Amino acid sequence: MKNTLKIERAKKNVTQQDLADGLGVSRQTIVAIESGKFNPSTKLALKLAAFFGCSVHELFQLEENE
Amino acid sequence: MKKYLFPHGAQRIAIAIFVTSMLTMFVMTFVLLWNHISYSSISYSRTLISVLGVTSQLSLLVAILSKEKIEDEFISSLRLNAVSIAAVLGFVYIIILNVIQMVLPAEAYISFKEWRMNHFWNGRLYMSLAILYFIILKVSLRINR
Repeated sequence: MKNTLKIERAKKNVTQQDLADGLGVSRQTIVAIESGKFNPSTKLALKLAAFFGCSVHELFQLEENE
Repeated sequence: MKKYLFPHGAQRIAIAIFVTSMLTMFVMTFVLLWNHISYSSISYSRTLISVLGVTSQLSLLVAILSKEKIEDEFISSLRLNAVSIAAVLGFVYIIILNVIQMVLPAEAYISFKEWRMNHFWNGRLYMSLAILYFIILKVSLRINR
């Protein structure tokens, strides 16, 4: 699963730590999601979407082979 | 799982107790060996080593069952991953012990078998598993920093 988290973060000029603090998760979690190592739960995906003011679909997309 | 973990502060205290008790045991054993005294021959040293053994095992248990600074779903997945790897490495360790025992000459086999039984009964295998789990979890956290 690919995501546009890094782009959205850059648009809003938010650091990984700020995002982590805003969502109440660790910075490691944000790093792992951005690098595609970890797929967040629905709850966290919804929280991320709410943080950036967009839909979950805009943040996360399935890759062609998935 | 998150509900049943000790607070993060407990982890530091437990690690401090674990290191202290292990060092004390190490120093005590070294001093006794240096003076050619068997620890089982002195009742207080036997009791003290047993108490230190239990203390180190309990503190290790508290350390591995303590929360990280921020305990979230990713940390939980790392925790699960660390348990799985530690379990697999534990099995590999047992296999290696069996292979060593298999290839040893007859005289060495008996002493090795005794050592191995002692090793198991003292619960050191479980301690090494717990230590492995803890190291893997911490390394995983560091890698993903």
